[in-house]
Amino acid sequence: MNFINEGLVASFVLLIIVLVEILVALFTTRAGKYLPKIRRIAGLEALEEAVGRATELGRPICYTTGLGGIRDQYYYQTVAGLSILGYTTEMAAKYGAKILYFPYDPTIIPMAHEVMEQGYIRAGKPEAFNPDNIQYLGGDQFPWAFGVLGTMYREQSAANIHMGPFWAESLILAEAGFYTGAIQVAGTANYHQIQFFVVASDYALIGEELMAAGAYLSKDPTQIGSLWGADFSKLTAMLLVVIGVILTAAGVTALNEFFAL
Amino acid sequence: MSLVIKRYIPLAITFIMGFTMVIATYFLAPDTPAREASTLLTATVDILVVTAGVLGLVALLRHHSVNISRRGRYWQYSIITIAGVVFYLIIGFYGVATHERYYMYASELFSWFYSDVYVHMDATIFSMLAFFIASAAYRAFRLRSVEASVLLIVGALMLLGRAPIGAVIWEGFPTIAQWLLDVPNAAGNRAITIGIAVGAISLAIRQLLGVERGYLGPER
Repeated sequence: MNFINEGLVASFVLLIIVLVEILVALFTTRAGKYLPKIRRIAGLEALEEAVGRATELGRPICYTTGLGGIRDQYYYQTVAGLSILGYTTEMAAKYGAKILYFPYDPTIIPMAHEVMEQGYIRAGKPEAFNPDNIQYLGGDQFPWAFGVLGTMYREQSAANIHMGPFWAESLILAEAGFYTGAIQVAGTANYHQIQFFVVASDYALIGEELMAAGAYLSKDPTQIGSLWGADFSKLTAMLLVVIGVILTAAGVTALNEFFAL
Repeated sequence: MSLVIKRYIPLAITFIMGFTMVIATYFLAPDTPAREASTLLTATVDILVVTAGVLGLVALLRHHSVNISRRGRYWQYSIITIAGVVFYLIIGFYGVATHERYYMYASELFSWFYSDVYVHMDATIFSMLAFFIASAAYRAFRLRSVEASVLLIVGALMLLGRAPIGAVIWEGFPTIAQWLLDVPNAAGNRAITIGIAVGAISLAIRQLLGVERGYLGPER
């Protein structure tokens, strides 16, 4: 009788390796033994520019977190998007800019309400929070996308921020936003949509940058430590690739078989 | 008390649920009572989602009702939205009532509006993506920098390799296009995918341990 379910041994081994690397790095930075420097992420630095532009023009910021909910496999992107929403809302509240948020999945509404309200409280302006700025437009892909698009045109938004899982609507939103003249910051970990955001937005977060956003914006050493640990995991992946290439070239297939390649 | 409810209890639920699912996935054999019990956890999520559906409906109706009563901007469109929602609700419940079925799709009227009206409107909106792709491609392919030039050349080679006319011009175009897909494209794609996977695990660990709490809103 197997201890680990059949077919999941390699996955479990990799999970443990990544887990150990991230936890060691996380606790090292938490203990104050080492604080790694993280590179500048232009897309996240641009959020202040986007909010500033909206404040100067007196026009709103349109924010979306894509087609994510809390029950699908893409939820981690939605959660990352909500973290950035909290940061952006706080900044918008400080500057006095209006921010409109368009949840796709109704499960996000209470979370977004809490995140945005806390952002206003944090900025010292709880009375400025307006729940009507969270506008549910429906839970179907293209009606939702065109609802957002229509609002961007009608409100002539000064900044459009899209952070989360996106599919075919990514280019619709980004390209339509371009024609309103808004500054656009977008990010997704759906690799098949990244190129559209890169082409049509002013700043784009590519893949893992979206997941690093919460740690990056918080400046919390413990969270930054987990990013450092993730770099070790990427080094491990690179090492495995190199070893795999050498072994395969030498005719040894043991590693391939272990990972069921 | 507020901090306990809004911060510590959600973090505890996140940790317990996440840890349970990891244990269930790796250690509980399929078709065993323990594994079946763990899948019940996902059923609780479905219940939450259904409840949230009602929340979405209420949020939608409330927003547009307020807009109409205040004669806000484009309030006429709010009337159309509410009329659409109410109409669809009515024919949905009518279908359930008359067909004695539990599923709204059993109603022919509901199905007709879905298949012959809504789907076509949806497809029309989707088809507009072609125009957005064209305008985005025009901007991306302009020779403004070295990167844009590389993109233009690779894009042209891909078009020639994939379109039948490419092979007529020169039989090597399909081979080049396939090589671009299989080698540089696959390498870049895998690098991004590995980065995303590791980043997702890192984010999940931060959330399970309660280190990252940004999605709960900034700390008071």
